[in-house]
Amino acid sequence: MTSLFEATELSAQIAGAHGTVRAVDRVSLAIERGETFALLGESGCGKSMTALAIMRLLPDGGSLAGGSVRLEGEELTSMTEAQLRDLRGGRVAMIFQEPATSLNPVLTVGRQLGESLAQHRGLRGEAARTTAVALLAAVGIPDAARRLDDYPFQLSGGMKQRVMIAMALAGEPELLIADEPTTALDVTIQAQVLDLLADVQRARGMGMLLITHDLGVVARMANRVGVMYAGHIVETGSRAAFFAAPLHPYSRKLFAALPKAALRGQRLETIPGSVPRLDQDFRGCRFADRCPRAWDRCHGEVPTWHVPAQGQAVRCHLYDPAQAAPAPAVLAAVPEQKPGNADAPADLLVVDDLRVHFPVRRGLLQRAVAHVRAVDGVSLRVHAGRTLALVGESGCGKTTVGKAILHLIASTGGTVMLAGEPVSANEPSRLAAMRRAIQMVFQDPFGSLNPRMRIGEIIEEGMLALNVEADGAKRAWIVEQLLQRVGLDGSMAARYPHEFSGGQRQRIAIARALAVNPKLIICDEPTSALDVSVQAQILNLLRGLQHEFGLSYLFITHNIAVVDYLAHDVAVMYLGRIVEQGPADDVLRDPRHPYTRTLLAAVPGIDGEFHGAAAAGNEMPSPLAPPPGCHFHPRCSQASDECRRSYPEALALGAGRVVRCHLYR
Amino acid sequence: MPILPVILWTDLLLFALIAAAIGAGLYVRRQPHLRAGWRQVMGNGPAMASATVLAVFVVIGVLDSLHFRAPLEAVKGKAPRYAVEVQSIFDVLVGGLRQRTEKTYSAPLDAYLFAKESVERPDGTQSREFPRLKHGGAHLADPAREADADITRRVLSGLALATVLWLSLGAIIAAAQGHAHGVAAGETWRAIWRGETPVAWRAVMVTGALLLVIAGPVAMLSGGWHVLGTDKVGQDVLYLTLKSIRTALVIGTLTTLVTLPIAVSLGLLAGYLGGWVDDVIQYVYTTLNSIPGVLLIAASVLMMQVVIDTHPDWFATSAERADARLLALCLILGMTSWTGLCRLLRGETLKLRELDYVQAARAFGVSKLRIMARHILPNLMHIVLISVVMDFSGLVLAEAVLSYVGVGVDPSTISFGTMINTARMELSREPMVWWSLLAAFVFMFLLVLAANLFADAVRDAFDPRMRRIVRPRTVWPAARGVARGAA
Amino acid sequence: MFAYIVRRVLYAIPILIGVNLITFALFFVVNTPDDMARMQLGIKRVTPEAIQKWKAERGYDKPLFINAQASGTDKLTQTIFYTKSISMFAFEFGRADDGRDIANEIRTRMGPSLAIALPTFVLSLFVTISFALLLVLFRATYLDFWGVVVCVAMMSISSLFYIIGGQFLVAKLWNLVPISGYSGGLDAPRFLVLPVIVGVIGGIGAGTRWYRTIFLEEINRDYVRTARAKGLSEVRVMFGHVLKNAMIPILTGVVVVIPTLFLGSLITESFFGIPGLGSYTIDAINSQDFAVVRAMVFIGSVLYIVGLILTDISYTLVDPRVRLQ
Repeated sequence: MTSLFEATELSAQIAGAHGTVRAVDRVSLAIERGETFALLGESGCGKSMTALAIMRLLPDGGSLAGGSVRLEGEELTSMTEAQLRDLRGGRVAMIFQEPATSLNPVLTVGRQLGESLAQHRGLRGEAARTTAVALLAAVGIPDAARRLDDYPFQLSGGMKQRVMIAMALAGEPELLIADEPTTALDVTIQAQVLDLLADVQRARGMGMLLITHDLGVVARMANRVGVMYAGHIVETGSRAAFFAAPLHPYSRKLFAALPKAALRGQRLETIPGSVPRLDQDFRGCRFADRCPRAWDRCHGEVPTWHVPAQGQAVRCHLYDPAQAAPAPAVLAAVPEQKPGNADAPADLLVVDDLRVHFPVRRGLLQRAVAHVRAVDGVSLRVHAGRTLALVGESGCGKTTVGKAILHLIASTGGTVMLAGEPVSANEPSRLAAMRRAIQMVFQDPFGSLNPRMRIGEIIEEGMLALNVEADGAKRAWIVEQLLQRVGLDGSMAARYPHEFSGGQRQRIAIARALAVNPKLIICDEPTSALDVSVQAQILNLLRGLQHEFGLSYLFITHNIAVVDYLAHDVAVMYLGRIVEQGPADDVLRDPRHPYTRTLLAAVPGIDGEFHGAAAAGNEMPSPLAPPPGCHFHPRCSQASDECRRSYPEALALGAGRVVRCHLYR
Repeated sequence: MPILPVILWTDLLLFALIAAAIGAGLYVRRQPHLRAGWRQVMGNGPAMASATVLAVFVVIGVLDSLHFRAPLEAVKGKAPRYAVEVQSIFDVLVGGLRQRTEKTYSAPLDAYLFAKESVERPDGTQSREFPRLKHGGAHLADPAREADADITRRVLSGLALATVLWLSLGAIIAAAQGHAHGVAAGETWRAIWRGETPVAWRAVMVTGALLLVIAGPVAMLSGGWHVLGTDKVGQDVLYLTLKSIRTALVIGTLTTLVTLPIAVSLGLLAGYLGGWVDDVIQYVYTTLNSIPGVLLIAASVLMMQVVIDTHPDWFATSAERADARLLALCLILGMTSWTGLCRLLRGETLKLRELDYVQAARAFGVSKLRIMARHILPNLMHIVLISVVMDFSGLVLAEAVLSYVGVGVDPSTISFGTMINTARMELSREPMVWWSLLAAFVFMFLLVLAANLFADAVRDAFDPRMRRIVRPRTVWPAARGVARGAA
Repeated sequence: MFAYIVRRVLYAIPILIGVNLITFALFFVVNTPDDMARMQLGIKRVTPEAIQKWKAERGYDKPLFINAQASGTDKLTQTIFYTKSISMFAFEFGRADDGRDIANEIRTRMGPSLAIALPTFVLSLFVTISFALLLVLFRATYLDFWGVVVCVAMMSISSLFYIIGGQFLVAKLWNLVPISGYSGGLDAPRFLVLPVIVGVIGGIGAGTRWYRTIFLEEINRDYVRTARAKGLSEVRVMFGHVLKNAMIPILTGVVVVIPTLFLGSLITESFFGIPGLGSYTIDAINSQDFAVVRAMVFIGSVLYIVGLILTDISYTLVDPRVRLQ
């Protein structure tokens, strides 16, 4: 019997600045009915291009370069455009990464769903409407009939992705291609959407090609896994086998680079170098330059497939039975480093009752009719030489807290004390002192460096503005030292940011912050835009710097694994308020607040087990109109009448733990 | 006896602009992102072909901006006196084309006037005939018989001249390029023709050939003929069109000189500072914008004209007065057209100031002025550059329309607008007089087309949004067939 | 919505005051009325009496801002500023140099102006958007490439030449329609067809290129990819999805122009002898009739502001995200 879907030696190319880029190079994969095949890879490895090549939806300038694609034995590459159109959205449907931009903003949900229904099932008018309502209900959208007339902007991110799924299901597909379907979503929403995808797949017996960079998602969803690197699939196997024993050195590196609590205090493994350019001809293995186990043969000969174990195949010379591979170099034992001394650390930064309210202006005279309480009474303590992680989902106000501490955003109320001294915007000298003591590293590595300034000038800027070092020659020397410290070359000071990769830029941003000898660095999601292997490098760097200089971090993130690996203390934020805080180990092992529990449960682990259902299909309410009482009660399974009435007071649980929940009264 | 140099205001500003352009060029050499953009422009064939055409126009315009007054016959013991008339180096170079005026219309390369006149014969009788021109073909005894031979001879010698010039141009480029890259000139020459040079010299050479093939014969012919005929008052049309070039260049460039400082500084301030500064600046440009452009210009020009007319004592010569009006027109066009760029820059600044690197600078307490100068302005320069080159052609076209409406340049200033305005009824004459309009059309079209093509290339190179749009150069329809059709 | 419009109208008032002040400054402060009189009468024939007479005829014989000789409110009202500037807000423009009432003249000349401008506008929009859609459907092919080249060439030709060429070919050479002139009623189309066609052709180059850029920017967006993944044909993607989203930038440029159509086109009307507001303005400029120019400036800005408000309202029609607040 033929597979549901089969791609053989599929290649696709796209016109690049320096010649033709082979984004997809002889990719072969097969998917059975009811099976999920996960295509795993880091950014730029060609996994999205593979999906687009299957659908023949390559962007302008891209084209198929060979191979065959079969759906139930039917060849897709030789179909006419008209035949393909019947297929797209019909037998093969696709959902995309960014639900916010993937829906047409000016058409109603019903209209966009109706297009698919009309195109593939010939449904129009009342029949189409009824079917559309059923579809929306099936993907878990409450009040579906009314939602049909909504526009995408009226839906939350998770709802939009549900609508995308409903649109994909409208054509009753046999194969669903999901391209990073949950990457843009918060972790609690991700859990819900993954559940939904698994449900509809089971109910319909669809095959699914799931494209993702997230090992956790793979563990949660896949039956079989393909690892993609530089346009190639380098390893395939069943989920169980893959997670039990990844074969390819690249796959192994990916696992090792993942931060987790067990690795706390140790260096994470990293992959040196960067992904090779795809506009060249490869004579050897594409990973050879970065592979710790590569030898001559890897550089001179392209590896073929080997099947060392049942259900696992790998494209690597190590598994060539005819060849005795050199023994793995003994990895230098990773030095175990004890976390900073635990004896009652001093408070470096004390934030008390910080408030940031933005006015909402309406009406004839643009009077402020309401306030968005982005930050509403946040109190934090960052100890000297320690890391406090501020955790929360997008829109909870965590970034605003960081910017308000630095006076980048004016705060509405509350105090910030730095080493016992209050910081106030009205006193320039204290403000300058604060700026020397606290610096920030931003999320987007591409937006955080001025493209028109040299690296040296970027790093120098703070020293000049804060009069740290007046002598130009000395500054240049410091810049060189800093660049070396963050793992770059001192001679790079004369270059411009566009010559650097995302990870390197983030290093430069860290060097810039270090230039004024701060005591505290506010890290605003510094690794969320980076691939896992690069994230590991940055986390290693941050950890090393903390040990060397006794730095404190306020680490703003949504990534629980990173928190678990790096943080000493955790504060969990929900809708402008801290709902729970305490030592990282305690909070993460024994969460008390229902929101913390939901958050932790939603993180897919890489052990392939799923810890249980996430909270109900609710999403974070708008900070403009937070629910009365405890903000979390609409999503809380344990909510009582008390929760609907009043916001719980902070409750100390001992050992530095504080929770705001009526359950512990 | 020396001549008396005359520096008109527009001359001064034009040269200041050229100096600024050279300065900007030196600055660009140190800025890799700008250099990369320009390198892309220079590798673009159409852009370099346009640049060649523009360069020729600019050379004519610059030569025409070196003004002087010729000395009159010296009277011993008295201070030297100078002609009232202001001439330019260009006037001298074209060898008296300026003085060779006829009585009225004459067709291109004709030896006779266009209209019959009563002529008194030597025997005293009167007859109506086409009189001989004073200059056009005047060197021939019997134009009917000799004209063809004379014209052919001149065209051939012109072509020979063009060939010599073109070959020497090629030799110079090849030698210079070869020297710069350490390659033999011959090898460079071949590389140029294979299109392998990073700068599209082939396009330059081809365009140069086309221009020379036309310019050579025209130069030779104009020694004895009116190549493009004469206009109503007998002026040589070729001379008029060439003189129009300077006016067009002045309007297209000096206006920008006025616009830029206002638009850039106000846009930056409004976008970065926000608050009441933003309110005020927005109010000012919305107000200015709300007055229909032509009307605002018309009103301003009318008022400016009153000022000029009521103060005749301000100007020593009529040339200076016409020049003042030209400059004022540039100022007015600039004052009324900065709003678009200002709004664009304000919007872009609003986006930039939220970027992390600006936040990072604020976290260091870098001053507002310094943030604007170091972080915002350099990231706006590509927009400024694009708008400057895009505006040029629009301004050249606007001059023609405004001059037609009567609020353009001084009627005594030679420009495309005044040429069209005086010639516009000539098509309905019987028999038709077509050469003035055709000449103005061709020269203006060439200038504006070259400017537009060049501006397009600049925008493609510097506007990041444009990079997403695939050009047929990179994806040929054949490749597309694989993607879309049956593979 | 209502509050929004009211606020926009209120915001228009300071702008109109600004316009008024600018024009007042231009016409009466940059030059004194004496200067203007001298200039109009000709420098040579000027006598103090003639200047006085000229000023009195036009009401320019009053002080600029404060009339010290008058009493009571007249101190302010018997001034040039009051009579010439404030009265504009009531759409009282006074009389032109030829003695006719300007407001009346504007009313009668609006019709012919609109008769040319409106068809030109509508047709031009239709033609350029169609061409742009065609080029975008065939993007990255030779049709697109040469289409853009032709557009650039067409926009490099001065509008004056389109008119001159059109008149020469159609009216003179082929004798199809009169070269110029105008009459109302059923005869009007005979006079209108040439200026309209010339206007449309003259706008093809710049218009097509502009809309093409807008469409190309839209077509690279994610939702277009979604629509294609649904199996919609390229034509349906274009008309069902791209066009609707592209309406937002298109409306920004288009709606604001609609009210100013009343002003007509200076060049077209003057070349074709259409007795509309455009030729009225051009005649006023040429005869230096300051009162008419001032009136046209004021009306022009009022219409422009109306256009801005209409633009904002039109967004609500195409963009559900815009709720006027």
